[in-house]
Amino acid sequence: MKCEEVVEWMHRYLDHDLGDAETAQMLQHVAQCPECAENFSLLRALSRELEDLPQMTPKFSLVDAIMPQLDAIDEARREQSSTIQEMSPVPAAFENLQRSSERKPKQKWLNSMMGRMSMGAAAAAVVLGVAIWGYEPEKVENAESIMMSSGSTQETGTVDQNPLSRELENDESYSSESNSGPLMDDTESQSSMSEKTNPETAPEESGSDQVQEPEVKDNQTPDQSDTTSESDNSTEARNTPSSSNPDASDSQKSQDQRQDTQQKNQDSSTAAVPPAGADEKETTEADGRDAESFNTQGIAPEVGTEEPTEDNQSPGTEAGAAESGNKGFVAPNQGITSTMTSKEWNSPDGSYVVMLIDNQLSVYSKSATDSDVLNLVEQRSLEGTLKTAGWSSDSTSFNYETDKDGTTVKSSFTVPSASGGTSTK
Amino acid sequence: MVEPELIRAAQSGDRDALITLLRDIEQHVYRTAYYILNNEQDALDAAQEALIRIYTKINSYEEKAQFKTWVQRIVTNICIDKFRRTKPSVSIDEHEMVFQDNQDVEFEVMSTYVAKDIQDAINKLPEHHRTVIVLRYLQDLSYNEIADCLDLPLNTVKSYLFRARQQLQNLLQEYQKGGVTG
Repeated sequence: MKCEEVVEWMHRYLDHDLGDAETAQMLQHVAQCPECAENFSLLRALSRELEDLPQMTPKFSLVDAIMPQLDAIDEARREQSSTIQEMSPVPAAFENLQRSSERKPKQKWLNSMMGRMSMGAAAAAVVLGVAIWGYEPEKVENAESIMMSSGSTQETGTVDQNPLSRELENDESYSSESNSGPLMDDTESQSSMSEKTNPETAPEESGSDQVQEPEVKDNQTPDQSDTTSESDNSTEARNTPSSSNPDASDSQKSQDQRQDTQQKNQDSSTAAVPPAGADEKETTEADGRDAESFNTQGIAPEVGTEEPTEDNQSPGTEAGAAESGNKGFVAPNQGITSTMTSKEWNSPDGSYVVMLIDNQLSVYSKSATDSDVLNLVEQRSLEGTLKTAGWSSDSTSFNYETDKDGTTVKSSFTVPSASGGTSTK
Repeated sequence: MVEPELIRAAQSGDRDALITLLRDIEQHVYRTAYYILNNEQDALDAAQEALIRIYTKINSYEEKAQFKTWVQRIVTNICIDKFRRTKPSVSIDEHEMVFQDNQDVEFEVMSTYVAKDIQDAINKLPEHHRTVIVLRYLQDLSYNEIADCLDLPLNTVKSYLFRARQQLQNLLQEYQKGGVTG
């Protein structure tokens, strides 16, 4: 019998896996072979020691320690099964509605989520909070690439004129044309080209807008069918004013139109979703400023196809939004159409939260009674891109830095440490 | 040994039975975790995690398997996950090199080793060797039961176990010669 084989048998012997006959055979070999004898005694000693290892016991009862977690598991299971049976609206849903009316951007999403959220009040609030956290970055991912492309052309084209021209001054001695000169520069022609490419893509994408508009027109302003495409654009903004004057005379109509144009300009500068036909018109005669606002519009149609449907689905909330006039129309557009970035910063003491939605910073104060109810304190549009942001440690001010054309601007919100009104610097 | 009636009661929704069952096994769960992770705090965490998992998954246990191997499978999986996250992996080759180097060295046979040295030596084993040793010696499992726990073929379990013992022996001999410690 070979020693190697015997070693394996030794191991099996130690593991009580060796039959009597094999054991006898193995022991016989060990008795004759000093090397195996030594090995065997070592192995046996080791095995004995391993068997005698202290039987460690936990210093406290593990089951007692995990009891709260087990209770929580049971609780969650009970809620899950009970809500499947009940399927009734819960008070939390209304609380959240209240919140959502202040936060237009999430409205559509909230409505659909609420359908699913027929849990208990607490669970609904918690899940909602988590879902919002999880939801927003997803939007960012989608929108970011769009922003990257259109945003960058915008910066180099229109906003960056000064630094660029200065560069050109140095490099190519366009010294006399420091401000007006870039009109002829490559950079400028590039930017105007990028402006033109954007409108081309816009019409296709905003097809749903156009489908939806005739309905609105038919209902409210049938006498405007002869107006140019510009008036299409205005129907959205017109909803309220025109319905109040159904018998408008021609002069009134033209007045309306002028008003509409104004409104439209307002809308477009605040990133609303005018239909593409008007965009093209506008941009052909656009100066640099219009082009700037157009770039944001270029983003809009892609994501913004949802926007008209939302109007259809929730007329009630629109009526609520009308209270705040133009702002009410603008707000949902911003959130849904071009959510480039969205972030939240909670103040250290938890009484405020700052949200970055589509380059707009909003400061909300949290209600003392229910941290899910947020009150809008202030909104600011950011110029340039947000570089850093954060609360001061005492929760009294929210400091942020924006980067525009390479210049860093520091700004801050100041809020009173106890909840209440706010002042800004 | 957990009574089958208790398991059935626990599976049918008897919460007290389930808690009793957990109390019965908590020491076994902890012991495995302690020797695989070689750290009290990690072992407490892993054991609690395992107990919670058993609590939530009790209905997935089927009687065709032994309850103790089902439990040990859960705890060893958690431990190996934890172990991989916290410790750099030790290659088996490294230990076999040691083994080769020391194979022919003369040494004085000592009948007893220090328990701490043994634990240190176990801690130096690669994760699967260590797990096999723990299941064999701390849980008294047979080859077959260990194979069930770890989803390994029987022969693999044997070879892991034999090699693990050989490695332990070599490591302990080093300690005894005053060589490597800790």
